[in-house]
Amino acid sequence: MNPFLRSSNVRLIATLLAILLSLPLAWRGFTGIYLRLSPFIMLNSVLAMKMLAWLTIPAIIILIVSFLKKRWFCRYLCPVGWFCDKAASQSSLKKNFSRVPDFKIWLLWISIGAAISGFPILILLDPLAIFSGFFRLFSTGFSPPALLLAAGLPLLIVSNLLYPFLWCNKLCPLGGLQDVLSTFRKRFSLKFQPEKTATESPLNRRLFIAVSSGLLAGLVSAATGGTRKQAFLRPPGSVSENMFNYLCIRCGSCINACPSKILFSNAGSNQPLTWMTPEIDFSNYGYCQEDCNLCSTVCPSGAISYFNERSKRDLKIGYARIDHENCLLAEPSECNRCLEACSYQAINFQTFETFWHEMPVADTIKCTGCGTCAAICPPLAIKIIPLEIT
Amino acid sequence: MKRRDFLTRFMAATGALTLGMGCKRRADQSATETDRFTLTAGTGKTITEPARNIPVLAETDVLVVGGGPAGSAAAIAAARTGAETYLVERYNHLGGLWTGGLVLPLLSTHGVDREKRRRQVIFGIGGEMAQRLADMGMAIHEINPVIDPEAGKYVLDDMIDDAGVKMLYHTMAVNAIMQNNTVRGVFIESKSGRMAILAKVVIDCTGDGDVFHWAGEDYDVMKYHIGLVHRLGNIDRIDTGNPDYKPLRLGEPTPIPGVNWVNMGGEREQDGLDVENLSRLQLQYRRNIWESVEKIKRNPGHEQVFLLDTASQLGVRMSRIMEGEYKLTLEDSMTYKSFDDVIGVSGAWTTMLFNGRRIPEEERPMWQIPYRSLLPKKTDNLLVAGRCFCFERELTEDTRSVGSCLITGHAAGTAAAISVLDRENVRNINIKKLQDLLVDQDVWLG
Repeated sequence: MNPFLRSSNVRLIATLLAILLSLPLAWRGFTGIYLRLSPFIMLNSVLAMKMLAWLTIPAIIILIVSFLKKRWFCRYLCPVGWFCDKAASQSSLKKNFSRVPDFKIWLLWISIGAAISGFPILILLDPLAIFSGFFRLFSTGFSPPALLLAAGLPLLIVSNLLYPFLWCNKLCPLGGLQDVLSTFRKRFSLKFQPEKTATESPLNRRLFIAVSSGLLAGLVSAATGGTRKQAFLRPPGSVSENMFNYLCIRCGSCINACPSKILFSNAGSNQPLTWMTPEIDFSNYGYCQEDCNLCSTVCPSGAISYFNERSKRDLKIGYARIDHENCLLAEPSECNRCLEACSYQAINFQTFETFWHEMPVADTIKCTGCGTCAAICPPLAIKIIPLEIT
Repeated sequence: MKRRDFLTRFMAATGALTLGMGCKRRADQSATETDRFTLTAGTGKTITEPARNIPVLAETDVLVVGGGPAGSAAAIAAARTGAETYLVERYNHLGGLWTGGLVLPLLSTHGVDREKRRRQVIFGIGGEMAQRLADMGMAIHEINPVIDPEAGKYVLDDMIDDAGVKMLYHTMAVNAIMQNNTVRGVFIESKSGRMAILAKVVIDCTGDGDVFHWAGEDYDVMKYHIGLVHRLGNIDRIDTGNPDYKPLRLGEPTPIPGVNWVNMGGEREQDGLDVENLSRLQLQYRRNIWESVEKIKRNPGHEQVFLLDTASQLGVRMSRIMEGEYKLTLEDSMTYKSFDDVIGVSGAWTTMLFNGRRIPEEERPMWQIPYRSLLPKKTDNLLVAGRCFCFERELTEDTRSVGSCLITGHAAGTAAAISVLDRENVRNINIKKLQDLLVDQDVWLG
C-alpha cells in the first residue's frame, strides 16, 4: 500500500493542516473550514436548526464514509485523536476500561435529544471544537474564559498519559456517533444474512432514557436562558440570542475572518454562557461591510446562519441611535456624511422645533445597525444599540 | 366607384401616415442635436440659427477654459513653460469657487506619507499661491489654510500677469471647434459678441467639463448637493456678557478679524447643469441666508452680526466626470498606489471609510495622480484638469478639493506647453520630461 495513504500518515498531514487552519492567518473564506468535517457538529446543528444547508455536505459525506468504514474519521482525520494517541503511546500505564460504562453513547444520545429541543448543550464536547478552542489563545489572547476554553486539549493529552485511550474509547461523542453508525451497518448487513442473529440492539431502554434526558435538559436550558436581560450586538444572521450561546462552538472563525475586525470574543461578561462567543464592538469605528458575508460562510455550526449580500439587507445587528445634541446640525453647521454613507437609505431628515436644521433620524425598519454612519460621523454622535429582546 | 373610393382613401391615409412618420423622425433628429446642450426643460421647440462667419480672436498655443484653481494654475504653468497662453473666465475674478464661491479653505494640503508622517504635499504653483497669501497675512492655519477671497483674487491676478497669460474676463466658452476627434479651439461669447479662439492644445478647467462634453467625450454625470456660501461680519462684536447669551456656531474664522465664512450643505442630488434649477436654488438660498441671519440677530448678544456677502458663484460641488484613460479609485488613494506617469500628489481633508474601517482625516495617505487620468479617451489636443478629471465617484470628496485642482491644473498646463513646444500630441509627450519639468517647477511627486 502506498505509504502516503496509510491512516497514520494521512492523519498526521490532516493534523498539521488543522493546526495551520486554526492559526489566525489570513484564511478569509477558508477560516474554520476544517471544523466543517465533523459529523457531530453537523448533526447537532442540523437537528437544532431543523434545516439542511449546502455547507453541511462535507460532514454528511464523512458521516456516510463512517457508516461504511468503522471509525474512519478517527483513524484518518481527527487531530485530537492524533494528540491522544501520541500521548497514550508515551504512557507506560496500561489500564483496562472494560468495566467503565460506554459514556460516549450516552453523551451522543443526550446531545441529540438536546439538539432536537433546539439547545445542543453538548456540542462543545466535539473533538474539533475542543481542538479549535485551544487555538483561540493565539487569536484572542489570554483571559480567564479563553484559558478555560483552551484547557480542553491539554486536559485530554494529560488524561491520555494517565488513562491511555480513555477519551477516544469511552468518552468522545463523535466516536460514539461512529460506533452507532457501524452498529447500524452491522444490523443492515444482517438483514441480508438471516442465519446470523443480532447481538445487540442500539434501540433500547438506555437510548430512550438518554434522548429524553437530553430533551429535558434542552427544555430546561430554554426556560432558564430566557430570563437574560442584556442583549449583545451579534453578527448579522445570528440565530436567536438564547440558542446562539448553545449552538456556537466558540471556534472563533468568524472573529478571524471578519475583514472589518469588528468581532471580538465576549470575555468577562457576568453571564458565563456567553463567554467566548462573538460580539460586535463598534468602539474602534469599524463597520459591517455591505457586501461581506464571510462570518456566515465560515461558521461551522450555523449559529451565524448563511446569508448572501442581498438577504443581508434584512438582517439586523442593532439600530443606529443619533444623539442630536452632539450632531453637527444641532448648530448652524453643515454635514450629511451619515446620509451619504448609508447603504440602506435608512437615514431620513426630519424637522424638529428645537433645532436649526432638519435633523438626521435612522429609520428603524431599514437600518440594519451596520455601523457605517457611526464610523463616518465627524462628531461621533451615532451609537449602535442592540435590539431589545421582547 | 366604391373600389376607386377605397383606393383613394387608402392612398391618402398611407401618405398621411408616411408624412407623419417622416415628421416624427425629423423631430427626433433635432432633439438629439439639442441634447448636447442639455435642454432638460423648456418648451420642447427648437429654432435653427443661420450659419454665419465668426471672427477669430486669436490663434494661440494653449487655451485654458475656466479660471478656477485648476485653470489659473494651468495657465500660469503653461505660460511659464514657454507657451503662448489664453485664459477664458466667465466671471470677473480668478480662483472660481475658492474665491468667488467663498469656499475659502485650500483643502488637501497634507497627507500621510509611507513613513506614517503627516506632511505637506501641495507644492508647485498651488504652494506658491498659499505661501504668498500666508506672507501677506491673508491665510490662517498651516494645514488646509483658509484664505481671504479678495487677497486670493489679487494674488492670482498678479501671478497670471507676471506669467504673461493673456486674460479674457467676462467671457464664456460656448462650444468646441472640432475637426473629427481633434479640438481646434473653442467658440466664446462676451459683450464683444461670438468669437473663436484657435489653439494647439485646449485645457478643460471648466469644472463642469463643458469642453469634453462638446467634444463628444463619454462622461458620468453626478448629482450632488449644491450650496451657497456666505460671510458674516462683526463676529468679534458679539456680546458674550449678555445675561441671556448662548453660544452659536457661526461658521469658521477667516483671516479678517470678526469675519466668518459659513458653508451650506444645500439641497441634495441637484442637477448642476440645468440653468433653471441653478436659478431656483440661487433665489431660494439667498432668501434662506437672509432669514437665517435675521434669526441669528434675534439671539441675545448677536444684534451686531450682519451678512457681509453671499458668494458670487453658486457652490456646484460636482457635475460631469470624464471617462479618461485611467480611472483613479478610492483604493488607489488609500493604498499608496504609485504610477509611472505620476504628475502630482494630493492630500486628504476628510474622514473616509475604507475596507470596513474609519480612516480619520489625519491618518489618510497622500495619493498620486497619474497623467492618464487627465487624458480623454477619444478627443485629441485636449487635457482635463480640476474636479472633472477621471476618477471614481467614491473619491469625489478629495478630487473636488482646491488642493487637488491646483495639482491637476499645474500638471495639465506644463504638459500642454511641452506638447506645443515639442510639436507632439498630448497623448505622446515624453512623460519623463514632463516629470522633470514639474520637479523643476517645485511640484512634489512623492
